[in-house]
Amino acid sequence: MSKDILKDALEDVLNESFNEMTGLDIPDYDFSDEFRDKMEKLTASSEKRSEKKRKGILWISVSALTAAAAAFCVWTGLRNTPQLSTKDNNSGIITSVEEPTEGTSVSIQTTSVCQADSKTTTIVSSEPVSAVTTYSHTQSIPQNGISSVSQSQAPITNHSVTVATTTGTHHRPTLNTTAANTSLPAQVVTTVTSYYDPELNEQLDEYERSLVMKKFLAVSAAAASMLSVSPTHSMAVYVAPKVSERFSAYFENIDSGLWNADVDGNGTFEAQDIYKIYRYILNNEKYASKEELAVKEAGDINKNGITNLEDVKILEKYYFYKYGFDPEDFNISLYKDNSDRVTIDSYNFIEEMKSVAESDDLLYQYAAEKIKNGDVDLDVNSDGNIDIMDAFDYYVYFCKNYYSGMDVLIDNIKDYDSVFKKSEDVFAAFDYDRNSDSTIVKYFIYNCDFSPEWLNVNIYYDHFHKYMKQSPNTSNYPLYSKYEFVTRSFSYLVKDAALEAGLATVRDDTSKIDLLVNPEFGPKFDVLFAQYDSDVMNGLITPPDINHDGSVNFKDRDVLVQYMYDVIDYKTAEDSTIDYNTWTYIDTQLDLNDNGVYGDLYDLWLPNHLIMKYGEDTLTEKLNEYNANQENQKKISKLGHIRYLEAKSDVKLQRSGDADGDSNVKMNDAVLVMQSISNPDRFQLDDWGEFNADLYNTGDGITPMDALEIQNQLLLK
Amino acid sequence: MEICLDNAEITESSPTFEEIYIKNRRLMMYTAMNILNNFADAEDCVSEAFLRFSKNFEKYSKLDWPKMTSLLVIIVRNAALDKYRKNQKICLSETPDEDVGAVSLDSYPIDSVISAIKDLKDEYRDVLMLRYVYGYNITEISALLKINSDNVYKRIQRARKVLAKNLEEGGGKI
Repeated sequence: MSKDILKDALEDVLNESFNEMTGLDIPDYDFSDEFRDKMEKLTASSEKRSEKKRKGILWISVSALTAAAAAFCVWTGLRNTPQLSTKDNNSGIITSVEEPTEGTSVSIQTTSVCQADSKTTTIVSSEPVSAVTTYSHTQSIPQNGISSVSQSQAPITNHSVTVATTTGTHHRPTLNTTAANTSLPAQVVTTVTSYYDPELNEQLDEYERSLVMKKFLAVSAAAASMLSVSPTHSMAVYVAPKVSERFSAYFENIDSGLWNADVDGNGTFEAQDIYKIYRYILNNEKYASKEELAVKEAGDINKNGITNLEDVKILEKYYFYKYGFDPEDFNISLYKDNSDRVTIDSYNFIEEMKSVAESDDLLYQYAAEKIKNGDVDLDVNSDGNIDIMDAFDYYVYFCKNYYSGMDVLIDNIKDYDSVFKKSEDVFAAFDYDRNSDSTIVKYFIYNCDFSPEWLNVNIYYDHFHKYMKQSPNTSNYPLYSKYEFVTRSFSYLVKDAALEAGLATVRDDTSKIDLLVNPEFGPKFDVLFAQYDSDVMNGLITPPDINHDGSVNFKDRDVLVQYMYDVIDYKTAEDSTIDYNTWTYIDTQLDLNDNGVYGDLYDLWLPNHLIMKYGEDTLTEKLNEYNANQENQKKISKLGHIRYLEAKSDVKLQRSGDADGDSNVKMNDAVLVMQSISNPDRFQLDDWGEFNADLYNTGDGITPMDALEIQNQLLLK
Repeated sequence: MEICLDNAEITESSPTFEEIYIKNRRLMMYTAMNILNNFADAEDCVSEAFLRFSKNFEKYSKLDWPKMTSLLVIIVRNAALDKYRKNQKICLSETPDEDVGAVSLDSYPIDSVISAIKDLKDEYRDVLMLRYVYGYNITEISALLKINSDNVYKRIQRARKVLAKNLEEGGGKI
C-alpha cells in the first residue's frame, strides 16, 4: 500500500471527524468530586513536571558540553598517554542554579568519584549558614587532580555558605581552608568538580570493552568530584497544610445551613452523626437496622443522591475543622452498635477518622504542641540530649509493642530498661496514633538541627550495637534479621521525613555512574551482592520486582539496563521508553546500598545479578512470600494496637469467631479451635485467628468453651 | 446547539495541561458515555486517558488543536472499549490472519480509500491514525492504548488487511 495515499486519506478522515465533533450537541456534564479531585492532582503533577523539565534544561546543556569535552579528554588519555594533563582549576565544573525553594534555602549538591565521598546536602535556613568540606577518601589521590569549587554567578546575599576544598595527598588529606570561600544566594546550586587519576588506567581498560562502558567513562570524567560539603546546622520550616478550596466551599455550605451535618437531628453535630452514616454504609440497605436506614437521606450530606464514604469524609473533615483535633474522639467505647456492643467496626471507624486527621497533618500538629509544652519528655535514653537517637530508641520500643517475633531481639538487649520505661510514657502519650514512630521522627526533623548523618543507616547500627548482648550476625539469623529490620526501617522513616521536609534532595545524576572508575567498585560490589543475595533469599527485603508487575523476571532487568542508558543520555522519565512510574521509582526510591543515591550503579547491578543468578521462578516465589509476610505484618500491627487499647480501656471488642481468617464464620472455625487445642503441633491459629476465636470470656485465651460459643452463635444465627 | 470545545482563545504557545483538560473533557466524556452508558465508568476512562496523555505531555502538547483533540478522543475511546469489554466479560477473539493479498492503494481513487477507512472499526482506524498521521512508533502507541507492542503490531497489520479487503469489495478501482 502506498503510505502517502493512506496518510492523506487518514488525515482527511481525521479532519472530517474533528469537524463533526465540534458540531456535536454535548451536555454539560456534572463531573463528580472524586473525578475533579483526580484531575486537579493530575494537572498539578503535570505542570510540576513541565516546570522541573524547564529548570533542568540549563543543567543538561552545561553537563552535556562538559561531558563531551571530558569524553574527548578521556578518549585521548586512554588511547595515547597514561599521564593525563593537569586540568585547569576552573575546568570541568558544572554549576546550575535552580529556583529557590520556599523561604530562604540553599542547596548544595556534590558528587564524588568515590561513592564514599558522595554527598547531597540541602541547607535550609533563615540564618547565615556555613559549611566546611569534609574529606574521607582513603585512596591515593593525585596532587594535581582536584579542581576548584564553583562559584555562583548570582549576587551575594546575607545567606552565605563557606566552602573549603581539599588538595589531594596520599591517605587522609588535610584541609586547605583558604582554597575557596564563596557566598551563595538563596538558591539551589549544583557543584561538580572533576579530576582524572592516571593510576586508574588499568582498571579503566577493563571497562573499555563495550560502547556502554565507554559512555560511562566519558560521563564519569565529567561527573567525578572530590568535593564534599556538610552543613553545620539546618532546620526545615513546618508549614501546615491548608484546607482545599473544594472543602472550604463544603464547609461554607454546612455553616450556612445549606447542608445539614446534624444527621440524627438531636440539635448538635457530633462524631456520632458521622458514625451513624458510617454504619449505614457498612451494613448497606440489606442489613441495616431501621434506625440505620433512617439516616439514609440525612446522610447524603453533599446532596448528590448517594450516601457514601464521601459524605463521611466531608463530615470528618468538617468535624476537625470545627472542633479541632482531640484524641478523646478516638475512644472506641464511644462508638457502639445497636446492641450496645463495641465491635471491630468501632475500631475501623476511628481509624478512618484518624486517617482523615492524618491527611491534614493534625496528628503531627497535636503531638508537636504537646512536646513543645513539655507534656512529653523525649529524652528517652536519658543522656541529657534530645536527639535523633532518642527517636531511634523509642522506635525500638515501638517495634517491641507492635511487631511480632521481636522477643529474640528484645531478649538480646542490655541496659535498655530505663529507655523502655521512658518510651512507655511517650507511647502512652501518643497511644491514639498508630504511627507515633513517624510522628516523632517528623518532630525531630522539623524541630532539631538536622544533620545529613541522620540519613546514614550506619549511625543507627553503631548506636544499637552497643546495647547488644551478642553481636547480631548471620549465624543467628532470627536475631540478625530483627536487628536489621529495626535499624533499616528506622533509617527509612528518617529519609522519608527529610525528603518531605526538603532537607534532603535526590542527587546529581552523573554521580550515579562515576562509580565504575573507582577501583573499589568491584570488591565493594561483591560484598554488597553477597549481603543483598542473602537478604532477599531470607525474606528480609523485597525481591527486585522493578516494574511492579507482580513477578521478577528479565523484564525487570531490561528496565534497569534501559534506565542506565537513559542516565547516560541525560534522558528524563518523560523521554524514556520505560513506563513513567517505573522510571520514577528507580530514580527516586531504588537505593539498595543505602547510600542516599537512588538508581546508582549498585542499585542497578545488584538486582540485575540476582535475576541472572536465580532466574524468574525462584525470585517470583520469593516475592510472593515476601508480600504475604508484609501483609501479615500490617495485620499484626493493627492487632497489637487493638490489644493495647483493650488493655488500657478494659473494653473488649466483640470477637467474630472467624478462627481461620476466611472472613466467614462456619462450623470449621469451631473445629479448628478444638484441633488447635487437642493437636497444637499440627493445627495452629495465627494471631488474628486467636483474637477472633476468643469469644467466650474474652481475654482468657483459647479454650474449648470458645469452640462451643462459636457453635452457639451459629445456631442462633 | 452547544459547541463541544470551550470557546477559550487558542494561544500561540503550547497550551498548559489544564487548558487542554478544560477544552476537551466534555467531548471525551461524551465519547466514553456513548460506549459505556455509565457515568462513573466514563469518568474513569476520561481520567485514565488524561493520565496516559500526561505521561508524554511535552510531546503531545505541541500538536495542533484538531490533532490533539482527536488524539485524546482516540485514547478515551480505546479506554472505554476496553472497559466495556471488561464489564461484559468479552474476550477479544483474535481471528486468524487472512491473506488478502497485496493491494496497492495507488490503484484506488482517494475517495474510495477515505470511504474504506470510514468503514473500519474504530480500533483499527485509531491505530492507523496513530501510526501514519501522528507518526508514533509501536512503543508509543502501546503506551497510549495500554496494549502490548505485539498487539499493536498485529492490530496495524490487521487494519491494513481489512482496509485492503474493504477496498476490494467496495470497488471503485480506477
